[in-house]
Amino acid sequence: MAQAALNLVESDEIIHQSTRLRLMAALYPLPAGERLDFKQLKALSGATDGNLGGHLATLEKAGYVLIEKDFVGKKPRTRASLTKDGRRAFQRHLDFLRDILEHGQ
Amino acid sequence: MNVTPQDAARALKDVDQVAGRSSTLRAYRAASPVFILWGLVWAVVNLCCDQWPGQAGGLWTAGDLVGFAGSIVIGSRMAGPERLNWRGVVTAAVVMAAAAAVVVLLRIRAVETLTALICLVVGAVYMVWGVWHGARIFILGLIIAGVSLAAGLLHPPHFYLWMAGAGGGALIVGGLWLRRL
Repeated sequence: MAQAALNLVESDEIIHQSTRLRLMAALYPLPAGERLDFKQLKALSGATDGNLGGHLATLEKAGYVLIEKDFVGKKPRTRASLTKDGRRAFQRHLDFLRDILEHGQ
Repeated sequence: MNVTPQDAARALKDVDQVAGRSSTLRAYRAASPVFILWGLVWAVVNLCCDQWPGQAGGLWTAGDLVGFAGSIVIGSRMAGPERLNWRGVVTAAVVMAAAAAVVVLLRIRAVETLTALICLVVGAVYMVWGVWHGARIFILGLIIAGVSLAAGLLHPPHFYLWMAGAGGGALIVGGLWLRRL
């Protein structure tokens, strides 16, 4: 019965990676369309300059985040926001984690 | 994917911490320009009151209207008109109306005491706001309340200059502090 319950809720290996999980958690509380920039995402997720871009690219390829690049004056700026698919996928993954706690393994 | 209950608990705790911090930083980003605006209002109005103490009532009325209107403009620019924080607007209106009612009911004649009282209430409101939205806002409220209480009890020789510098300055510096990650 526990296995059946678990099967109803999907896991998401893309989101479960610890840095990507923190990136999704940082974006999740924001209203739709609101964005965080590179500096803010780095501070919230603990990612380094080197791997932040890579993790964001993975999430973007999965359709979970939208990356926007523009300029503020002459300084380039990169910002990210959750897509609707990303929000749903993150919520599903949280449900998966809570199910594991509730039913054990 | 093999996730143990310990992994799941750790991951959920991580999510809670990061999501909580993200929400707090968002509240700080929203509050920062409002604090800076009110710091400028406090500084300018108190400096004018130092020059024209007999006009303090009118100066504060004008300053409050500028601050209130400016806060609404800032809020709508950040959130967009369809997401304007109407609860925040109504809360601010209620606080200002209550402060005006207190002024009328208590019939306080000493303008400096009245100024300190209203600023003390504002500091307390910020402290309550900070209980829900972040420690930095609470700390700023505590500083504002402390500055106002000190001014009201000690009546420093240059009261309005004290309120402009210590009170207005604290709000401006505090608003800039809220922007830091």
